Amino acid sequence: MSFKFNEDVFRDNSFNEKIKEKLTSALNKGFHSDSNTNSNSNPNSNKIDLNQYDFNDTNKHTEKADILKSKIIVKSTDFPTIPKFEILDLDINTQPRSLVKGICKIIVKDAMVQLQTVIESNLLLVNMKNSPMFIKPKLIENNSLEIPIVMTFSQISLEAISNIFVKNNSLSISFNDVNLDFNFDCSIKILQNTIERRLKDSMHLLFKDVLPTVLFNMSQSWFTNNHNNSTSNNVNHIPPQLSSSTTSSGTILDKSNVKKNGKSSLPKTVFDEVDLQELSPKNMVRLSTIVSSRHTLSLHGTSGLHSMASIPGCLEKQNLYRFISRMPSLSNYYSAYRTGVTSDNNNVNNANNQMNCIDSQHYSHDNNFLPERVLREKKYDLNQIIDIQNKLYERSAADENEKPKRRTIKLNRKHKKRQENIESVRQSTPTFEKFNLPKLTDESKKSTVTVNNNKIDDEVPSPRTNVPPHMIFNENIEYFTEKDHSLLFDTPLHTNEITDPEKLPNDIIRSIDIKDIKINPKKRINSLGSGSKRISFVGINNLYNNNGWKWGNEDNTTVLPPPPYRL
Amino acid sequence: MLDFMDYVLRAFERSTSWNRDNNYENITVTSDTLINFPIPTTFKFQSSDRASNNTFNTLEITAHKQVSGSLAYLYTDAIGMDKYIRGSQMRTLQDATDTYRHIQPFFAKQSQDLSEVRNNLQSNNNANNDICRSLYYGRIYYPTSILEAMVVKRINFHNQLTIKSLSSANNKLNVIFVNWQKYKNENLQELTFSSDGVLCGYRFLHNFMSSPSKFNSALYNNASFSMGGEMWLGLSTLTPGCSTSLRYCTHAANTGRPLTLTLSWNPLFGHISSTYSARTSMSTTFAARYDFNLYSTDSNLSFGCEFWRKNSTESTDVNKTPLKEENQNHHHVVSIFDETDYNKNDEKNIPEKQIKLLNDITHTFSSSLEQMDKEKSIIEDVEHKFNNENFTNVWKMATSLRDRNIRMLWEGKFKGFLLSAGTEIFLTRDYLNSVIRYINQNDSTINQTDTVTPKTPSPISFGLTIQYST
Repeated sequence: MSFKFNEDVFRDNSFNEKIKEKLTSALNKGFHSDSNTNSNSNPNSNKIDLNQYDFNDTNKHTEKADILKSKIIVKSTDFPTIPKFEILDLDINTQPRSLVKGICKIIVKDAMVQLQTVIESNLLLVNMKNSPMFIKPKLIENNSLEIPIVMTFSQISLEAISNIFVKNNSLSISFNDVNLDFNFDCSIKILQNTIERRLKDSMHLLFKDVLPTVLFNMSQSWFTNNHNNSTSNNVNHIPPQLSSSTTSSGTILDKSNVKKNGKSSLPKTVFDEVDLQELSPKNMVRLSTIVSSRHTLSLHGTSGLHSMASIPGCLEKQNLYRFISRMPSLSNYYSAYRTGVTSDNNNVNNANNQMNCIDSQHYSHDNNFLPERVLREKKYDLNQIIDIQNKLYERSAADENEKPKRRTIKLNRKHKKRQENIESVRQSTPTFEKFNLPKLTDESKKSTVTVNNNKIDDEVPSPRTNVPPHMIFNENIEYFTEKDHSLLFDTPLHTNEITDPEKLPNDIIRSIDIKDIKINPKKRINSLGSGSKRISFVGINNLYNNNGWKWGNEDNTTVLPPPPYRL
Repeated sequence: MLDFMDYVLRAFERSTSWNRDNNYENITVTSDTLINFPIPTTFKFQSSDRASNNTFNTLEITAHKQVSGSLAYLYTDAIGMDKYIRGSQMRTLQDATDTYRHIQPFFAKQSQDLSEVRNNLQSNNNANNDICRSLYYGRIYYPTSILEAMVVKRINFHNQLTIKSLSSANNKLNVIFVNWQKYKNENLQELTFSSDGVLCGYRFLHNFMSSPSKFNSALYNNASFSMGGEMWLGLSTLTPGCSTSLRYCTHAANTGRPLTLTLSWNPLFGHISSTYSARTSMSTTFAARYDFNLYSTDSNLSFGCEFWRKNSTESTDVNKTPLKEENQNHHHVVSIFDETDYNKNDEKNIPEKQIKLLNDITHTFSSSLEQMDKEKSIIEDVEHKFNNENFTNVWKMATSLRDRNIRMLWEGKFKGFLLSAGTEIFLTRDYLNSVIRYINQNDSTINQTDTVTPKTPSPISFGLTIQYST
């Protein structure tokens, strides 16, 4: 995850103009100029109007005592220095509370804002304005006295330490240590102390309550809006960028907007094509790498692209995919057959969607899939497959009470049952008993095609799937399951070869529910090895060196590897 | 146009001899009715009915965007309401609308009241029972289901209590309003409480000149001088309000036309407002008001005038009647001065020399006494003439220099219906924008186009009210 703090926004004077404009619009949001016309008519006039009660009913409570007699004019703003934005801490291992937790410090210095308006000083008149004639006592000479007021906030310095939580579809920020200081100068000296005191009192509420709520709502609307606009393919990759920019310039803009008045506007940042073009493939690769490294707390996952671990004996999360790629599984075993297909598909994919810049082949790892070509060319060796599957089962069943789920496939099953089976298949590690390949192919292929067609039909008119925009954080699913789901769409239908049933749930996962997605990686991790077994990853020795396994500390040769790796 | 229920309320006050003009809130009522007269903003039809001498009801239909209406009932046990309440066919236009308030001097009014009470006492032993009457009023609005209720209770000769309440179905607007007035020794004191904003108020008005002899500038002294003040405090928001006012009513000596001068001052917000209102002729009334603010040096000059019009054929017979009353009133004044008693005593006890001297004095003053009678007759004449004139319609117009608006209202009688139509035209819609522009005129950074004011005159409101009562 990365974001850019765009300093250029603050460099030239246009920022001051911009903030002036935004402040003016935000401050005058509730002001309607019609009230001016009423203010002219003398309050003593004894209006006999039957509709007074209609008027009162609708407006009495919406049109609260309004002492502002004109618009609020932002006379001048001056932000001479660039706001500093400092990340003190970034925690990306806080599932399930939030995806990312960060602590940052925001510093704004020497800012100046000058506001001007006209206020009504006769509050009794204001309060009585909306009460009905029948019970309104007539006051003599209770006219309005309008006073122009100029408020200057100078030397504004804001220093805030805020916690930022990036959640599934929102962003919540809490301000812990806010230090706001300003010199306040009011043209009406009598009111100066009162206003200053009240402002400082309300600051507490503002930073504790108002501002986090506003930001939360804003981010929510942002995330969902963006998700609606983006296609389902690039939805995985854009939102992190969005959220990061929300944390940086977006919040600061909004904060400076909000901090003076308690009102807020929701600035809409629309990412257009130009912005998206800036996301270079290299950046996206880095983003994905960082995301994949979140379980190790390491921010420098890109170190040592070719070594398994930078710390001897430790497996870093970001290198997990490499580890997995060498794990005993069907797809690894037949990896030679896989490449051709995926590379073809990759070309198609790239042609289809240039936004999807991550080279999926680079990371993709088909967990325990039997590649198509193996089946097509009948190169598989049943004993070998049984051996691999058994090893996988031994590892996965060691810690759980899981019974091996034997798949029995019958020929004349109904379509409905097949659907149910998909669910169960997804939960289980496929074993190899009664693996009646050609029969299955016919059945599964059909259902796969129908499901996929449905998916396509669904997605085209309304891309409003429930996938959270920052799906990239869950992307490690794809290291275990089928990465490139478009492969499924592009597979010619006439082939009789098996499509792994695993592909189906993967595609459904994308559309069904977030919870499914969350559950899935855990399962997969467990199946790899959980609990005590995972410890044995440390110091896997070079018994396997001859097979190209380079694990951890090379001195530690005596320790035997865990069972599944004894090929 | 006076609402029928207001008309009944005033009749109630007249029958219980409670003087509205002693209320502080009515101290500037003349200039208000001439300058800030209410203009109907909707189409409204009001049909009122006197079911009996004591019960009245009103049905009102308003059409403004949507049709709404109200139904009002009023019950009072006051005596002689039939004397004061007349149907729209019979009611004079002067009664049906607010116009120049002719404020009678305190002593004259007081003496009249007292004499009435004395007469009542003589005729009927329980005079208090005739005065201590009450009025009950209720009105419900459709479709908003808002209920207005009012009880006016005259506790005794000096005290009157008014309780108003407002209740809405959706509980948004439930207000109770209590007003207690006490009139004693030329002072009217008033305590007010309103639950809307927990508003508390105290008002008082003092009528100077307990006896006519204090002012010697005019022989027949029909002037009155009042001073009053008010204090308000909204407890829920701690918003204060106060004002103090002077009122001087007199008559032009040679023509007898009444005129009223008021001066009000709001010390909190520095408002000063002075008004001058006069009945310049039998059918025209004129008022001017000058507002000034000490703090902001804002000023405003407003004018208002009324033109009463009548059918030229009908006015001949009315002029005869006042002459009779003139004589009565002449005696009335004499009785106040107690001249007769004084002369009688003199003739008996005082020696002849002195009698001669006195006779000389009375001789020398006789011309002025005659002059006094003449003045008095002129003054009374104007009032009676106006009250008995059969006007058919009236034009009211007002304008204000600062607001740059023109307000027009036509009220008239047509086949037993009382009609009222009016409009208000603004020449500049937004005064405050010009204030802002003025403030910022040296500041080039403020965009001038933000505060453009429309130059074309635009009508703000227009409305018509039709009233019929039996």
